[in-house]
Amino acid sequence: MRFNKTVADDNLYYKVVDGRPLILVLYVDDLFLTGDEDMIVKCKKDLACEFEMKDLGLMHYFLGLEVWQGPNETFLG
Amino acid sequence: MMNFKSMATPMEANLKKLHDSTISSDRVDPTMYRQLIGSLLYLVNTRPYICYAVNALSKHMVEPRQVHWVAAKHVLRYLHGTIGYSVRYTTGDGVKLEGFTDSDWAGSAVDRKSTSGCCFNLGSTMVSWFNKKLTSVALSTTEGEYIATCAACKEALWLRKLLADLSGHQIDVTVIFCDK
Repeated sequence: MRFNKTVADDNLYYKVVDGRPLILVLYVDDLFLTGDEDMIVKCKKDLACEFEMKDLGLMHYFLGLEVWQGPNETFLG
Repeated sequence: MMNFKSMATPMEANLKKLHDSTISSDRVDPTMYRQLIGSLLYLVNTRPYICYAVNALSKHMVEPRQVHWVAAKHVLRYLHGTIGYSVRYTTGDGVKLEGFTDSDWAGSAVDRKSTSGCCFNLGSTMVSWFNKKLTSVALSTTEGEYIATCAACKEALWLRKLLADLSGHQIDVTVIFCDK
């Protein structure tokens, strides 16, 4: 998958292809992707080939945090 | 606890009372208290404004008394009144990192150690915050603020490292605001 691991956080992976970023946050068996739309779609496909994955779509709930996502803003509660 | 009055603040201003009445107050079930504080600690992840109250309450995990239990319920009542609050992140704010710190001088009546508070903004949104009782005794307010700023610098270094990783280059100078 060619992700780079960040120095600052062991659960945070990123890659930049043609100036387009993709960030992967991993916690045990939960993960979420953020970044360039096309790259997310491609990464989801690649991950599904490698591992048994469940796509929960747009994030609403992660590790006990509720997430509301709008076009230009995100709320964490 | 379904029918109760909401509170406008997470904690009473007079912290000293919490310490002074410790001995005269009855003991409460430590397990219940620790469970409540444990839950509140996790809630601090999305509720920066209860950070200080939870920090103060978590100092009494060993032998919680009635006064602490009441203060913990005060936080719950505050949360009840602010149940719809959340942290808002917007796009297009840029990635300017700014830090703010403060410290009370000799805030702890028991050992005279100061407690520092710190938060970081990325653009217009707060992204990192903590309260910490300092490990050494500050002999002046200036020293207290200095130690607090040092704690903020450590956090700033980590945040800068994270942002440098994600953006691929070092970000601009991070300004940390402190008072004297």
